[in-house]
Parts: sequence; C-alpha cells; structure tokens
Amino acid sequence: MSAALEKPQIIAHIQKSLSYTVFDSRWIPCSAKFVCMGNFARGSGVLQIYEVQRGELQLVREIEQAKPIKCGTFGAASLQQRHLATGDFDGGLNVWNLEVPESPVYSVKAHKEIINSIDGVGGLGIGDGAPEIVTGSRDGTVKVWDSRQKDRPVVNMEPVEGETKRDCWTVAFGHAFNAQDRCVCAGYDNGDVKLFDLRNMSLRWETNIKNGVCSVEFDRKDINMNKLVATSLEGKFHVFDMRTQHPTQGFASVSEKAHKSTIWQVRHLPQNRDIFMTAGGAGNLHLWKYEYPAQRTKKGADDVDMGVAGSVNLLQNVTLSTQPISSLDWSPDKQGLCVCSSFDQSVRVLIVTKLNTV
Amino acid sequence: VMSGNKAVELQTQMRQNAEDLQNFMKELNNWEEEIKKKDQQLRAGNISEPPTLPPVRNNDYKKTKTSVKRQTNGLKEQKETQRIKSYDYQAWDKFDVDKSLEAMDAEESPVHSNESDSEGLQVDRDLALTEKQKGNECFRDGRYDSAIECYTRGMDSDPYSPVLPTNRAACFFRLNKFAVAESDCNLAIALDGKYVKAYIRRAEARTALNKHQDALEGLTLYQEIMEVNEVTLVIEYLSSSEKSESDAEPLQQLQEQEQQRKQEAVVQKDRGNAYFKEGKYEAAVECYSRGMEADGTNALLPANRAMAYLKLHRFSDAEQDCSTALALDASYAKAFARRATARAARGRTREAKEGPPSIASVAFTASPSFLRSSHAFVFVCRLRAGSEAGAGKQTESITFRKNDNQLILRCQYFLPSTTILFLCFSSQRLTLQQISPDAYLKIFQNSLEPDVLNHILKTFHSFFQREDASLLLAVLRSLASVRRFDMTVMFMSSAEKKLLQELFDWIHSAGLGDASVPGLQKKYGL
Repeated sequence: MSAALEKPQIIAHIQKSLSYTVFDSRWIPCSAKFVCMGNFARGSGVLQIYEVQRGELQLVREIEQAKPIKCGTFGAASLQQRHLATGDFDGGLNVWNLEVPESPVYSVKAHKEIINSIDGVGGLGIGDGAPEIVTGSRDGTVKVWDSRQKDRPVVNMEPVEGETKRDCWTVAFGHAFNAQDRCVCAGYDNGDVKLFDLRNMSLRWETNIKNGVCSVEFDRKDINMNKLVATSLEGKFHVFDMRTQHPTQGFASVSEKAHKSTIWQVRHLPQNRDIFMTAGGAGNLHLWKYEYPAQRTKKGADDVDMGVAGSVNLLQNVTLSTQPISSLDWSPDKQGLCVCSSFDQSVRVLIVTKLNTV
Repeated sequence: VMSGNKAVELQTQMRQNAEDLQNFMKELNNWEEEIKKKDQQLRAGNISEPPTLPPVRNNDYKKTKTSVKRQTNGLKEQKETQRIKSYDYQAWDKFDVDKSLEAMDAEESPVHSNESDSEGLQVDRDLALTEKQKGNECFRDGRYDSAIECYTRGMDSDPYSPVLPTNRAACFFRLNKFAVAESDCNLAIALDGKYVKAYIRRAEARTALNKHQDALEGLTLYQEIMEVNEVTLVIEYLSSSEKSESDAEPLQQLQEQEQQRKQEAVVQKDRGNAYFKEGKYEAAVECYSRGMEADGTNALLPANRAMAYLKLHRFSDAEQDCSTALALDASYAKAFARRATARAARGRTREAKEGPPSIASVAFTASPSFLRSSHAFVFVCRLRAGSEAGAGKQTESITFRKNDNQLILRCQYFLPSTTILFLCFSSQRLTLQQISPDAYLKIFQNSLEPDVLNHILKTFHSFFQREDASLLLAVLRSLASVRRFDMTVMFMSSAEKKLLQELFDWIHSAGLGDASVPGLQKKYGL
C-alpha cells in the first residue's frame, strides 16, 4: 500500500484542441516550445509551434506546407540552428529552419511513398560523428541522409531483388558511441526487426516479433547499444538486451503485453534510460521501468555468451483520450515534462512526477 | 483497525501527490524563464565554427544493397588469434612486413571486400531509373532522339535491366528504324526471357519489316514459355498487328508531310494515354481529338477516345467513336468490345425508365485474314461491366464468316465478377482447350459463379465428343480446385446435376474411372 505513495503520477497539465489531424509532436531542444506536425482537412501539411507559458499554450507560428507531414525530428540539428527534419506523405524529406520556413534548407524526394518514420543522430551536441537522418517508408526502403550530399542517400537499405517488399513502419538510430559507428534499427509491418550496422554496411541482426512493429527505440542513441524496445500491434512490446549478441540466438528479450490494443509509440526518458513510456491505441499511457537481472550474461549451451533479459515493471498508467495517442516526446531539458498528440486532434502537455525517486 | 489506517494512508498519499504537483509547477515556472533565456542566447549567438566532421559516409561507394549475408564475428576472431607471439623469433624472421601492411589496408576498408559487385562494373540503378523517367517524358513529348539518348545513358548505368532496351526499341520503332528496334528487343529478351513487352515490341518491329511469319513464331514461342493469362496480351496484340500491317504499307508510300501528321497523331495518342492512366479523362479526350484532326485514318484514336468517353459516362459519344473506329478498321476487336460496353451501359440507363435490360451484343465480322491460321486460338477481351445487376449472363451465338463457310460459335459471358469474356473458336470445332485447365484457378480465383459453371458444363454436354473425356476430367478437376467451389456446387439445380451425372458417366465409359474420380464426384455433390 505504501508503494502507491511512491508511484509517479501522470497529470495532463495543458490540453489543446487543434483544427487539424496531428501526427507528430516534438520539443524544440533548449526551449519551452514544441512543434506539432500534421495535415489540414484540405490536404495541405501544417507545422505549428507552441510555447508553454504559465499553464497555457501560446501559438508562436503556423506554417503551411504543400504536403501533409507525417513525422519529424531534431536529432540531426545543431543546437544553434535547431533545424527540423520532416518526412511527408509524398515521400519528401525536408529540413526546415523554423525562423525562415519559406524554403527548406535541404530537400529531397526521398521515397516513392509516404515516409512513416524519421530519426536523426549526431546533432544537439550529443555524440560524435556527422549528423545523419534516417527515413523509413512504405516503399520498403530505409535510407540514411547527410545534408552535405544532395539528392542521393548515403546508405540505402532495400529488400533484395525478388523478395516482397514490406512497409517499413519505424526507424531508430543507435550505437553511435563514436564518430564512425552507427546502427539503424528498422521495424516492418510483417513483424521484422532488422538491425543494420552502418560502419560495416551489413545486416547485423534480424528477428521477427510476429506482429507489425509500430515503434522501435534504443534507450540511448549515443552509447554502445544497451537496450532496444520494439512495440507492436495487439498490445505487445519487447525489450531486447543489446549488450550481448549470441551468434544464433541473437539478443535476449523480455516481452510484456499491455494496452489491449496497438502500442503506437515508445519513448525513453532522456534523463533516465531505464524508464520509458508507451502510448496505446486506446488513448492510454503506460510508464515502465526496466530492472536489470543479477547477471546480464550467462554461458549458453555451446559455451558462448548469451544475454539475459531483465524484467519490466509498470509504474503508472493513465487514460487520456478515446483515440490512439500517436506520438509522444519527453522534453530533453525538463525531466518529467512531455508532450503527446492523439488522433482526437488534440495535443497535451503532461507532467510526470517523482521520476527522480523511482 | 485496518480500515482506519487505510483511510489515513490514502489521505497522506493524496496530500503528497498534490504537494509533488505543486512543487513541480513551481519548478516549471522557474524553468520556463531559464530556458527561454537560453533559447534567446542560442538564437542570437554567433554561429560558432562547426567542428570538423567526418566525411560523408560511403563517398566512394555507389550502392548498398541490404545484405542478406550476415557478418559472422567468428571470422574476425580467427584472424586475431593468429597473432605471432613476441618470443617466437623464428616466426618473426619469416614475417613479411609489406604483405601484412597491405592486408591491413585491405581490412580497413571492409566496404570493398564485402561488396559482391566489385568486378569493376558499378551498377547504378538509381541513375538508370532517373534516366528511364527522363526518357519516358521525352517519348511522351515526341522527342524520340533525346529519349534514345536518355535510355542509352540508363543502359550504361544499368546494363542488366530489360526495360531500358525495350523502351529504346519503342523510340526506334517510332523513327521507323525497325531493324534496330528488333535488335534492341532481342537484347531485352536475352536479359529477361519473361518480359512480355519485349516480345510484343519485337513482333511489332518484325511485322513492320514484313517478317510476319517470324513475328508469329516469336509470339507462339512466348506463349509456350508463359502461362495462359499472358496469352491474352499476345492475342490482343495479334489483332492489332493486323492494323499495324495495314498501316505499314501505306506508310511507305506516303509523303513526308503525311508521315509527320501521323507521327503527330501518335504523339497525341501517347499523351492521351498518359492522361488516361492518371485518371484525367477530359484531358485525354482533348489529346485524342487533336490526334484525330492530325490523322483521320488512325483507328486507334477514336477507339481510345471512346474509352475515355466511357469513363466519363458519355455513352452515346463513346458508341459513335467506336463506330468511327470500326469504319476505319473493321477488324478492330477492341472497338467492338467498347461499343458493346457503351451499348450495354446505355441499355442500363434506359432500363431505369423502361423494362428489362438489353443484352450487350458482341458482333464480330472479322476480315478473312484474321482467321488465317488454322490453329485454334483464344481471344480474350475485357468487357467492363459496371453494376452487379448488369448485362445478362447467357450464351449467345456469334456468326462468323470465313470465306464461304459459316461457323456458328458459342460465346460465353462471364459477367460481372470476372468481367472476362471468353470467346473460344477454331476453324474446326469448338474447343475450350486453349485455356489450359491448370490456369482455371488463376483465372477464376475465388469467383466461380454457379452460372459460369453451368455454362461450362452445358458446353461440354452439347459440343464435346466422347474422345474429349480426358480433357473433361482435367477441366472438372481444376474447376473443383477453385476456391469456394463448395459454395458454387450448393447452388446447382437438379437439372444441372443430371447433366453433371451424364458427364461423369461419359468419363467412366471412356475408361478413365480411376480411384480419384469417385472423390471428384463427391466434391461435385453427386
């Protein structure tokens, strides 16, 4: 009973109704502002910048775009410039300077079909190496872009000739612990999770979690890969221990079923990599904590090291809406502050308490 | 008492939570101020020198395919264990410094050692694709020379793609360089033996060179390689080859001006087709009309315009255009089919006001050369039937005149679900043979209607002779393998079941009653 006292609380601090369908919302680093991306009913895309002002949201700027925008990231931007990279419904990748949004800083027709997911690494003063952006699209390919190279991706990961292409639903960078190493993890609609090593240009690991993969995220992008969470349809998510790769059995994992519906998004707390939040199709949020096992490795049958997965504990859950919560983003500057958007055309700023004592 | 404790605990919990929240909010306000200051500083601050970044990844490396090949860590470990021990002087004597330096250099760029394409030939698919798209645009605008250049560049980048030589062959064809077109098609076929378009283009080129027999042989060869569904393309082509044959001869006699006008018409037709594919039917109609102005003898243009009209539901215009097309070329099968659709559609709209629906009539009076071969062949044309309650499904006779002989052929409608009209005819007798029974599953998929089944059975009953028993058995078997067959069988009436029983009796009397037949009979509900 007393444990309930220490449970973190998830409180909806501010809620705002929008006049468009919002697909993604991201904090602008080093500020109290965030960007909402989506599309108007008339078919054009929109970027809105809001600032948190004493319990209210002020609209700072609204930018209309030609094509609806599905996803965005600040991950590859410098702290000074904080350019937003967006993927749109037409397969176009654009990097915007939000102060001067008339024309993009970098623009390329990245894919033939909608870009489902985007991630950036190497920016914001986190990690070493060149800033890069990765996009995953319904056309089955995953492409990595460097803003210094026009028109052509730096890496293109596409299905082998003859194989049916599966929609790529989610991408994430990880393992970027030095200037050369990078890994891209991609999740597909048939349950495939593939880990590409960009340094060696090869497929490092793949597995299938038996259900479409909605979201993947490493607990931290800029360290030797530690944990990877992959969420799927039908309320299941898997946490993989990425420190030990067994040659045949891959990575150890623990899985958990929650939400009773699609888990749309998973986001780790930037200030504590063992805490993450999952957003579900029934408009609910679950806050989890991962506990490491006593020993992270053990000897397998053939005397080769294999990983041992730990366990996940549910810290708190809350239902905010009846529609799926499609995006979630923790503020990198204030622990416990997060913004989420859902398909009921609203965006909410949440406060999660007690995260420092968990 | 426990409940008392619980109440107290609950209260404390709530108070604590409220306090937590208050603290958070206070902190939040302070934080907001701080962070706004920081934000301003960053924005106003000088743009510092960007740190030297590592070079763009894979700069010297054109392509990466997802390797299904995995990097085995085992290999790397083995190499490491081969280190020479420091005290092993003999091994050190034998140690070749230069070689190991080279090996290290090679290792450092694992990029190159992994790449399976490193025969020196860099296959650049992306560039080839861009060139192909550019070429397609040039082709649509009628700039055939630029299109050829684009396709050639594409072929340099990707020599393994059969699409580029085929497209280039089309350009040569339009420039009347038929021999070059044929050789390009041969290249495409060599690259990919199953590429339909290449075969068809080659046949067009050969026909234009008056090598008709070769054209037909090339296509029959193709027919053998592929399965039945592909044959439809082949034969549709055959009917249009009649047209290009008749076009080729007058072309050689025309003056330059006429030729230009015809080119213009063809360009307009292509443009119209492009609009049609995008769904912009009005624009397509415009292009076709312009083409018709340029060249009034091209039967394709009115026929295509009719198709666009059909999409726009302008059925009377469509019918008129079809008649124009048929006036220009009496053997143009597509025009017949489209006119029938137009009539059927008009019949349906009339039906809304009047009584029973009028049946679409498909009448063919083909020129004798159309039936020149004595082979049996299948003619498939697609009739688009809009509503479910559309034209009636029934058999209709078609009179076919070949020289003086009259052939009465059976035509079967399979509408509306599959919307495929099968016309089977031969110069001798009716046969359903050309559609191999194995293909039924593909053709019908899961929409074998009871009426369709009925028609097939009736045809067999009335037209087949006893020696076709083995074919009959094969047909019955493959029909039974079509999905949801049990549902179809459920709808058979007793008269139809009698028919079926007779058919099975024939099979038995022909001596083909092996063990599987009773099982098959059960499937048919007998």
